[in-house]
Amino acid sequence: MALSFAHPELAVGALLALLPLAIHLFNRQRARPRPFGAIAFLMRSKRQTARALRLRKILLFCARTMLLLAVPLALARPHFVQPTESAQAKGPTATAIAIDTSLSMRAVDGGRTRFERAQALALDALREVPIGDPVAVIDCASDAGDAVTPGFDREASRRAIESMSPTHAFEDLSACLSRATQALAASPLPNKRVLLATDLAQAGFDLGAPTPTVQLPDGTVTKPALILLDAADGDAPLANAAIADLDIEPVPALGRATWRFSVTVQNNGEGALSDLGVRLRVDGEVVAKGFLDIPPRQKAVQIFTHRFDKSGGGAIQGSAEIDSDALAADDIHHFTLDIPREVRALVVNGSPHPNRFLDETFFVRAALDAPGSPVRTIPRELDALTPEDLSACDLVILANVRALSPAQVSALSSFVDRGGGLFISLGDQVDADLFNDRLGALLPRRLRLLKTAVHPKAQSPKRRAARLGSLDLSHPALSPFAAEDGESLMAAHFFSYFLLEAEGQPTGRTLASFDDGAPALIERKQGQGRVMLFTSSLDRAWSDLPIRAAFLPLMQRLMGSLSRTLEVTQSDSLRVGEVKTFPLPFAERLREVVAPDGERFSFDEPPSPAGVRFSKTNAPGVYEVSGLRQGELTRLRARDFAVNVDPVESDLRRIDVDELKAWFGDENVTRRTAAGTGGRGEDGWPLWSLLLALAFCCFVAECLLLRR
Amino acid sequence: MSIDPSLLAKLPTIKLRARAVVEGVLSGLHKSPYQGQSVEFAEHKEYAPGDELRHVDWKAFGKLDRYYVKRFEHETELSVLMAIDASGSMNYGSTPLTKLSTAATFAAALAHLLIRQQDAVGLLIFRNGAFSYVPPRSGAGHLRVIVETLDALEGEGRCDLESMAKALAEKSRRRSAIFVFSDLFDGADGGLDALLQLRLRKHDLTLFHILDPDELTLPFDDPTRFLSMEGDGLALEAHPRELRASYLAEMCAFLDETEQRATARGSDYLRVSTDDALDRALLRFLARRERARKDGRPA
Repeated sequence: MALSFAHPELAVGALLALLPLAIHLFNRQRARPRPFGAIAFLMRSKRQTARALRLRKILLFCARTMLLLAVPLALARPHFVQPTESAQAKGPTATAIAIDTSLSMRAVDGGRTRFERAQALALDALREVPIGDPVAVIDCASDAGDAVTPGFDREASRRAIESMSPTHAFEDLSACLSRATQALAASPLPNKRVLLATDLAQAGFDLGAPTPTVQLPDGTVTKPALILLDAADGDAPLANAAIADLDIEPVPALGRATWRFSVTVQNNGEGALSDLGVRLRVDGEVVAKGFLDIPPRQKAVQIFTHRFDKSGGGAIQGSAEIDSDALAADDIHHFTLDIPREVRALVVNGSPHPNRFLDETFFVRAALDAPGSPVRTIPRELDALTPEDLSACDLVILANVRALSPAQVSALSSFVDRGGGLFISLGDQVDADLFNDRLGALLPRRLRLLKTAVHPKAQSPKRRAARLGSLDLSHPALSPFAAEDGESLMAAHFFSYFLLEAEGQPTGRTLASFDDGAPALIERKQGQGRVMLFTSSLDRAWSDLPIRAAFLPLMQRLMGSLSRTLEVTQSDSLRVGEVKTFPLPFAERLREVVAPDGERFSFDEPPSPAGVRFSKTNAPGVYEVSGLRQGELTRLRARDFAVNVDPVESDLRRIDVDELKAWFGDENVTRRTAAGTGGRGEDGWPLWSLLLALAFCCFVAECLLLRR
Repeated sequence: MSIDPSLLAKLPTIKLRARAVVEGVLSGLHKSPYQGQSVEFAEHKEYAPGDELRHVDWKAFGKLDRYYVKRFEHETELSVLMAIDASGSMNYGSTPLTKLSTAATFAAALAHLLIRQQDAVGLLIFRNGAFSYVPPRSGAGHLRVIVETLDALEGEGRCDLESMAKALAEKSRRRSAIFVFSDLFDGADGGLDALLQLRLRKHDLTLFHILDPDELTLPFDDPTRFLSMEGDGLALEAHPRELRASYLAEMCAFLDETEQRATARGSDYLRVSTDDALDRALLRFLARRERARKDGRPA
């Protein structure tokens, strides 16, 4: 290991160390002869004090020399250079300086981030590159398509390094090395080397990737020398805990608007964590706290349950947080949540019964009024239904209604046009002709005739009963029934149901069909509202669906879909750098997104068939979305979305340099720590500070010696 | 009022300097501190005008009704021998007067006073291992001889107090007052003791320790090559600041020890710095002698 200097011109100042010697020699020559009568006393004094004086003189000389030597050397920022590195500098060399700007470089160690250290190392390395050698500077965060070629403008290279900043994203350092190597291919010089300033975080390297190579002018393929500028200084990995995941789900059993937050915390350090604080923050207020003990390299889950005080629904922003550590960016996980508003459903009972189990609406009301349900039912007799009732509800359920009056039908039609939902179920009170006559304009398809597959009181009715044959699982209301959850639904027996007219005007979307192909559930949009027609009954007269486990979720989701509160749930949590897609037709109304740092982005590009893409998710936090509502630019809180860091970057374990050497080629890889680049001594202290401390000690020693 | 040594140095000869000192002394002196010392009763003589009344024997007058005065042996012949150390180190002087000039002026002034009251004054000068001797006599002509001898003094060679003591013992057979003017920088251990042994011969010994302010304070700062002034070729290159503390300690110990030994042997000891006003120093000395005489002490 050889000594080199970051500012060699200042090291010339070390010649000042010769000053005490020069003064000593000068004073010897300058001694003035003086005849003196009492010379015998002087000689006796000298004899007595000679030894102490000589020792003091030597100490003074040493202190002054060391003082004058240490200060210029400290200013020159000395550092050790690996001999192998020096040996590789055989003549002109093309150099690529790549800097790791990934999230892990934000880790703070000793008051400085590792990125700042890496930046300083890169600048030091740049200064050491001979003037005639070309240099390329590569930001590992840049796109692979950004071609960089080595140049001779050292000032531009310096500016490029200084302008870099750490990102919040994961970076593939193997790919970065490949880019740096490819950049060197543009230089005709035979000697090539890559300097990678990084914390050597294990997650950043993909040792399964092909080893980067470069083609020389003579056609041979070789590997450049790789010098690792170790921004972590060879230290042990920092202790770091991170929120690895946040799972949010409603807890209907505990009431409407009650949600469970499962915060998964990963201890990435080698030591156990004790009493790690975990907090849940909603709209800026801490609403819950907890503590976790996590063994090394293990995860633990902190569960919070929170009931939101939003009867009318609405979007909220929040975060799960843990006590801050070396890498603060992964100690917080942002989320947005749209609490569905309470849906009021007017249930019009066309077949009331004193026995509530035989009542037409008993089961549907029980399902919709269950704890945690977003729907609240308002029962109404058919005759009592007024237009005023419609203005106070979000949807109307017509259960086995014989016929509505023209005024009621008109009011209902206006209600649907304005955005209300209408669910129609049939039954023994329904007369197809009368129903078609009165409600034909609202029905997705007109009724044709009643089909009775089997009488419920017949022998073994279930064997001959109809079942659902198909479900449109792409519909939001039915999508949860795709797997085993749908078995209960598909196992339901239907004894009677209405067949519908063939498709004509108006038509609807068939969401469920019986095994004979007849529509069971059909939906149609009208105006801003929607109408669903269920061709069987909601009581047990025509089917056993009401006593099936699927009945409750089916009804809740169908009502949610009709009231358009179903799709507003927790928005997707994106990783930094991932693309947010807003689906059509909603995306057509989007105009602006405000990033967490306040920067505004407009949607200039026309929406594609898939929707509108937003890719500037460069920082973690909540992105606020604005769009047009009734012609005015309005904040669309329900469309806000959260972006969080990739937990992969939270693992600060360092890659074994030997593994890296095995991948890249042992003879080509050297590691330069901050100690080796002027930053630090073997004990971790910067050499220059040690020299300054030595100078201070020498100064104090000199003062003490002079006072004696 | 004292005489500034710098003004004294402007006077060209020892004679003038001594006279200036003596005039300063006389203005503050009422009578000789040496009167009646070392005298013995010899006989009676009939009173005649001019005799001092204090010597009238009033007991004889009571018996015989005639005035007789007492006559004393050596009444006017106190023998004083002044020994001057004229070694090379006495040439040192940071003030206008060197130590040797100071010693010579002081000795001349003292001789002036003594001869003025009819005492015999002799001179012994030690220089470069030899001595020159002027026997004790009284009279104005003898004073001139002494002053001229002192005027021609030049320091040279080393200080040898032992030789000085031997010479003084040899030259002063009868009881004498011996004044020694020296810096006492004798490298030999027994020099001062030999000198002080003169007290054993009943001599009245007074040591005038002549020193320069530089020797008392070592005020130098710059690196200096100190050279011996006594021709022995000694030299010392040193930084005075580094040696000052130990030098002053050595010098203080030397001065204290010298004074202590001198007074312990019954000698009088007077330290004179070359920047002292000599008339004041001489008056101080005379006043001390007067006090000693009244107290009945030898000094």
